[in-house]
Amino acid sequence: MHVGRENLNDAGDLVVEMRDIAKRFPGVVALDHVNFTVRPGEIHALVGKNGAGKSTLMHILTGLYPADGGDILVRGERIEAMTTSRARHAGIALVAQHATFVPALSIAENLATGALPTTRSGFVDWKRLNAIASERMAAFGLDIDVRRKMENVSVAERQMIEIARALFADASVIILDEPTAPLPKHEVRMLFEFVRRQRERGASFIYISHYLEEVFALSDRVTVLRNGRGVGVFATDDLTQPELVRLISGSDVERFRRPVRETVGRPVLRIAGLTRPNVYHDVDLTLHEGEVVGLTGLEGSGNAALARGLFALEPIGAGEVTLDGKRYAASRPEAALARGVAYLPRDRHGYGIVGIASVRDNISLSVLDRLRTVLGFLSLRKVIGLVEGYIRALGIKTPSQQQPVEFLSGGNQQKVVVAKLVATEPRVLLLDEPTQGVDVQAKVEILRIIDELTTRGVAVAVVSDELNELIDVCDRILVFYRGRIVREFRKGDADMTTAHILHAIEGGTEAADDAVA
Amino acid sequence: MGESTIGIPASDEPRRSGLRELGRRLGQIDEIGVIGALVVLIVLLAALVPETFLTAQNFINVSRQASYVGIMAVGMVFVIAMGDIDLSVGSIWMFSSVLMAIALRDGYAIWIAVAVCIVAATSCGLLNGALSVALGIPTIIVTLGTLSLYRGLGLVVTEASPVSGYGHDTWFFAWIGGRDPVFGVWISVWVMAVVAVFGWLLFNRTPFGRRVQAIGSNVQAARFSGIRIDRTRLLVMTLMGFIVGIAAVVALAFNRNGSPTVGVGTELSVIAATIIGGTALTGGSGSVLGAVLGALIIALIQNGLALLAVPPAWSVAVTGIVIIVAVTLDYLIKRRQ
Ligand SMILES: Nc1ncnc2c1ncn2[C@@H]1O[C@H](COP(=O)(O)OP(=O)(O)OP(=O)(O)O)[C@@H](O)[C@H]1O
Ligand SMILES: [Mg+2]
Repeated sequence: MHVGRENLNDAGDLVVEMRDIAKRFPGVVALDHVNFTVRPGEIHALVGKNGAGKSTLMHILTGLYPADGGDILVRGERIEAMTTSRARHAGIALVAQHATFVPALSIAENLATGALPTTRSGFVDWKRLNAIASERMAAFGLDIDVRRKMENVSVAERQMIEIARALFADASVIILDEPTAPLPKHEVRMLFEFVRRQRERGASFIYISHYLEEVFALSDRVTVLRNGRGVGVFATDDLTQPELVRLISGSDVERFRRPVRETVGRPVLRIAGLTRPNVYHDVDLTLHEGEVVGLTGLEGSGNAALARGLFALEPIGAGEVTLDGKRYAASRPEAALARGVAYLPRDRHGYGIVGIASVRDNISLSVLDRLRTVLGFLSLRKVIGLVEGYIRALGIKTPSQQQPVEFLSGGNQQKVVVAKLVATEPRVLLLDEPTQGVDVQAKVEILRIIDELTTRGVAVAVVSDELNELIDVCDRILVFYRGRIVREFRKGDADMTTAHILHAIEGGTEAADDAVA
Repeated sequence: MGESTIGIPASDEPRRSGLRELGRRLGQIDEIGVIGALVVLIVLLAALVPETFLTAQNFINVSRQASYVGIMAVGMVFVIAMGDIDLSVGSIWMFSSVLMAIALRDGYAIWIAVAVCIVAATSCGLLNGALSVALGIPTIIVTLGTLSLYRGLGLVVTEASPVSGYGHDTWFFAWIGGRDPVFGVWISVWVMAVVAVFGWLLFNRTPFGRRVQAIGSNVQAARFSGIRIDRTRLLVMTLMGFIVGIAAVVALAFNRNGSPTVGVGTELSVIAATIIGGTALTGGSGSVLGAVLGALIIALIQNGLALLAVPPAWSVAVTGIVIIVAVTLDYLIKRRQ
């Protein structure tokens, strides 16, 4: 490999230096003598497969977990026994994936964190509060109305506010752990611009992501972890994407492309003239047995809402929907499942897994009634058999069936959710961003599982804006624009390319396609 | 492929001595905390007041006192594991038992009176669940209301005075309210054991029990998994009422007369027993055995304080301290793992 390993010590002063960090959890060595450094004013990407130890390393840096061994130096000064308050004082801040704000309060109130300015009579001085907050936001180049309630703020804005808050509290190192996973593409751009601007002012960022395009677009250096060991530190510019993939996974990851399957079966789900005012209009769509159909579009264009509607999470609207020729109108998720429609939610932690429960309990959860003995008790033998089957079929890496799912890495958690759905033996599988937060290799495995399912006659719809993945796995891609299906791309067509699809997603017409090509 | 994505297994642990191994095994028992507390409590009381505490008679009495709370705690495990709470159990107990006493006073057959008690208690539970599901409000709010509602209704039908005026020389009072002739243990203790066995099976060995725990762990994920949340909640609250009905029947058999003051504050003892037993208030898991042992702990403390001649008012305060200590210990042990 011609990629050079950089000398760690020629960097001059380092803001953060982690030396020989070790951490083990029961049965797992999460970090095995890892070194990690951050320079002032750099964006440092931290990459590795699911379970490589990225989050654990950051939890140690912010004092959430104690390390079993190793040293942490901040600006050259060794910090004994890192704690969350020491990390804060040292200027290290973690922007959490899940909100740490109070949703019902305004942005200004949230920023004041309890220290509200008061008038002489002891009431809250709203004017001053809002003025201070506006000023602070403006100082970081954020032009937002601080009187808005936090709950009405988009995820990207929330993250930017959180970064600004941390910087204002004198943080100099900001950790972003998979910040873009829940973000629609255009908000990612907004966030990145903001992060770059703060870098110009001298702040350092540690940036964890499975989206390698983003790593290349944003970072100055990359540290690669594999199985709890440091693989190396590299200047981003010296790397190519395939090289980085190889460093991350230790081998080549072959891109999975679903072969053209000629045998698309009977129609399973038929939607005709489906309209939900202000969400989608006149949707006509047919899913066939053994077919994979991609539903893509900008955030709010109706594709995701349609999937949620089909699973009865939202009103579905008026129109004709039939499943296997019979009218389909599920009023609740359990009714949808009973008709053979299963749904993989976007937010794995919020909706997918029962965190404290084991792999076994999660996979068997939706089909418990099938696993009873004649007396109505659960048959442990049947449960173990079923779960073992799916662990093997989907290649779920877990020390045992009893392992709590929250201790699995992201990719394996996602596979557990998929296994739970597949166990219900669905006719129609709706997947909302199935590869979110999942590493390159697990992404490929999930695409392979989708393909595999279609050979059993399942009809699959994938809601996603990962166009490369859609192109690899879908037989057809339907593009939603402002609630209408505006284009259909078919596998094998010459125009099934990211450029053409992107063009359609943004509202371009077919006639104007030549401009793209 | 082939490479582990969950990390490298830790290298072989050093070989443990037999005693260590025993310690490790014991540490894996979920109820080890409660069992330990129980043992400590017994040893302590045996040392302090050996001549009064260490008598068969005393143990038999303590177990009876524990039995009513213990029976109800079995139901409470389901409620709390689902992430809910039922504050009305004391009032359900009072309401259903005075109705039973009234039925007896009015000359109805014993089995009709028992049916009245069980049906009334079950309906109270059903109403709790139905209100929560239909109005979409948490059970803590609903049962805060029905806590007063059921007790108020009980006061109305009894005009706030004890219900008596029926003979006690029937098989019911003699047998259910008495001791079993072989072991000399109160029948209510056997009833608690039977309820606990059924509760344990239902909680740990049936799809219903799994679903209850899944809802308590992550209600959204449970919904997405096709679990009928409303139906399960309704069933659990109804089951809670039914189990209170059982406790009310055995308690009345012992107390003989219907009292409008029975069960005041019992909900707190029941919830405390459940939590001491290792059921997390945050929901998601629970222990039926632990809850029964928790009820025993509470009864032992009250018994011990009485034997130590501590004023009864203090025993309430001490029970509170024990709850805090037990829950803290449990939390610390679980966190260390
Ligand atoms: N609290 C915990 N208890 C037990 N094991 C844990 C715990 N936290 C993490 N692990 C294990 O430690 C290893 C590293 O996990 P970590 O969360 O750091 O991975 P990651 O690189 O952030 O992965 P992902 O990309 O999926 O977020 C994994 O094997 C994981 O299962
Ligand atoms: Mg992580």
